[in-house]
Amino acid sequence: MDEATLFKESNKLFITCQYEQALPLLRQYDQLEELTNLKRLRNKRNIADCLLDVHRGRGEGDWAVEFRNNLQQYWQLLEQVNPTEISPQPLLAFFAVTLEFHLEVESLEQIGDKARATYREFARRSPKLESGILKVRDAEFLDVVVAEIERERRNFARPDHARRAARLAEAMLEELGDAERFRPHRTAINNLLADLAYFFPLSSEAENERYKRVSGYLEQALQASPHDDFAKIFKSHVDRLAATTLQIKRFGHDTKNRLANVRQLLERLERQVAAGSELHQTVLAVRREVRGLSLLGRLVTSEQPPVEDLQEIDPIELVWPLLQERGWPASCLQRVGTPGPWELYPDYVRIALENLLRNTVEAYGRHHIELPPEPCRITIDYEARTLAVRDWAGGVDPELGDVFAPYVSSKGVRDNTGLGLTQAREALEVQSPKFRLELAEPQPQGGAEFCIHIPILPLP
Amino acid sequence: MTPQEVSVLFMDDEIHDTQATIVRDAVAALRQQGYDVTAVEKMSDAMDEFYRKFYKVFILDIDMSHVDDVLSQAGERGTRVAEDYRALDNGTAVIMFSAMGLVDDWVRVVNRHIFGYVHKGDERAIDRLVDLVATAAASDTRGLDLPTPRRSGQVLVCNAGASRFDEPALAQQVQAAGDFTPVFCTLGEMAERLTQDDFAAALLLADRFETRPAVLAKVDAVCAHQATPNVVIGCQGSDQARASILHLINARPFRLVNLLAGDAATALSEAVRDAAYWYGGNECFRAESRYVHRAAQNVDWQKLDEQFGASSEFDDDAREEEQP
Repeated sequence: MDEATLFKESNKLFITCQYEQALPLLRQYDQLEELTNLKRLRNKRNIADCLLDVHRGRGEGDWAVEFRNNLQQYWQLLEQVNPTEISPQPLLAFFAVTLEFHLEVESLEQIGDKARATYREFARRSPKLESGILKVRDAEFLDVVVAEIERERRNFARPDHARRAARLAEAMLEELGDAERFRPHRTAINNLLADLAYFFPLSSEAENERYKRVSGYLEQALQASPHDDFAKIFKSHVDRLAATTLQIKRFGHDTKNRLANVRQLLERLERQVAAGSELHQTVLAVRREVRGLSLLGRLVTSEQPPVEDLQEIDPIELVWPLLQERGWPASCLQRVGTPGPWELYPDYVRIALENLLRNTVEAYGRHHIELPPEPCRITIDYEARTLAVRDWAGGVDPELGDVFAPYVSSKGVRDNTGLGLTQAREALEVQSPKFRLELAEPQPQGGAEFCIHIPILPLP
Repeated sequence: MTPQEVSVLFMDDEIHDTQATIVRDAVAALRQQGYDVTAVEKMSDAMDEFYRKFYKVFILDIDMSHVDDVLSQAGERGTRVAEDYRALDNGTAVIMFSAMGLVDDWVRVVNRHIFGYVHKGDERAIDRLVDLVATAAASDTRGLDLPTPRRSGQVLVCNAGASRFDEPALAQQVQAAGDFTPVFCTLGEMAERLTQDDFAAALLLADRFETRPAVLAKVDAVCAHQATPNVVIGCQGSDQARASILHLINARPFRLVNLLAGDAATALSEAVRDAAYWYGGNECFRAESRYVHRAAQNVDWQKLDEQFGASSEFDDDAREEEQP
């Protein structure tokens, strides 16, 4: 192919982003002796683009050597072309591609040094007009640096993108030093570093250390630009968050310590009082309440159940006492299949069932239906591993939407905590994501039916 | 070793607080077992004790804000003291006994190879502490089979539900650690595979490990294979997963990586490399220079020379170097 055809074909592929097909043609074009420096210069930029795009994610290799050689040749050519013929945009684009190359290929330790060296080379070789004006100024290169840090910050496909972005940012901050003319860029880079430190914490870093680091970057940003609203608002938010977190931790610590003390005192009491005495019964009741309190605390924060609480238990042992407590007849309970134990956390399943039964009673009252002799029917299906709770209390209002969402309730304002079903579902899911609470499909006429699924859990 | 021969250092800022039943009862329970317990309420006192006497077991709290102390004034917490003890490692088994612990604390201390962690707020907390102290007192690491550092080989990987990493991503992280080939298996197979084949390291991940005994027993069985190979565990560090994370800490993996951290992928690679490269001795943690200097000052070098005689090997080398 002659020069014109090669140029046309390679460019057609290049501008339609068919980089893999364009690359061999661009290489071939690069070998032509009759090319002007300017044409060769443009072609080298296109080669760099293609090389990076085709080999992205493959790490160091022959292509990286080719990229570096191509870059060296580009820099040499840059000094040989007429500055008036150079457009700043392609030069800045090549600078951006080179920074991307460093982020792609260099080790974490090397990114900073390589990026700084590249910045210096581009800035040094930026074509100068006869008037002494640079075709591309430092500030324009730095705009590219800021954009590249931002791009890498969001480059979620690369597992260590945040660390790479931070390395580039820190190195460039060092490069800028305290020069007055770089104040806006120092602010922008410090703001990006604060963002990275906040949203991508290091595995070895404690929360308070992270907040300190974020606040430090923002402080630097504000020193460079005292009126930068982003830094101002972010810093006040982080400082407040750090103080609040500390207070919550203290509160959590004191509460847990006190609860531990109460539990310990009750253990002492239990040892001291005669077994079977009335006081002994009271101590046991208080212990149960304390245990319930801990359980609720864990549910509110979606905390995993304790290891030792898991039991193999026939669900009838959970259901029957709940019916007895309410004075409801044995006919409320049905069993399907061969009875046997299920592996579950009894306290959590009990809470879910209690909430469902409480809802049932409230529903009868709300719909002005007298509590029937058999207010509900709980069916334990040992084969399907389900507990179905059905009532005749008027049914669930379809207008409510997702009844398991917090604060969705058909109850009046007076009773409206709206957390009953949410908590019931949470009590099941916190045991295992495979444990579920659902509205049965279809809903029975004039009543509601909920279904609890407690499947056998395989090993992961 | 009888309990009477086991010295225990107990650090808690509520040690003299009459309302702090759990602390007082814990100390009493240990003394009742016969352990020689020294109780301190300041972090600086615990550091001083390091230079004064060897303790077989060091039990410490994390939040130490109730007592004024140079370290608490500087915002330091018990985790820092635990780290210093491990950095200046003299063989003391470090056990955390705290109601404060949060994700940061857990990840921090487990990676310093503490002996165990008991949450004060848990049921039977004191019984658990006493059991753990007994285990620590009975343990002797001198008989440990030391592995050969591995620069290449197979790494056994089990993804028991880590949503952030699929198989190719995990393979990439293992390969980033060095000349290692990932071999994938299920949690059920993992312990068995470790007995069948030679592995440079093992990597086990889940967003959140279930607290079912069947699952945790498998994790324990995998960790029991250490140090051949060392095991790296990754999970999402959240306070909600306290029950499973504390179990993982007590299984004593070589590394625990918080998968929610921004640098989790790199941290996994580094952990696999460290696990495989482990040379067999205690890991070197960076100790604060002031504590190292203090340790050096406390050594009576002359007495040591007299006791053991000057090291002729080193002295000969030194003399040779001095020869013109």
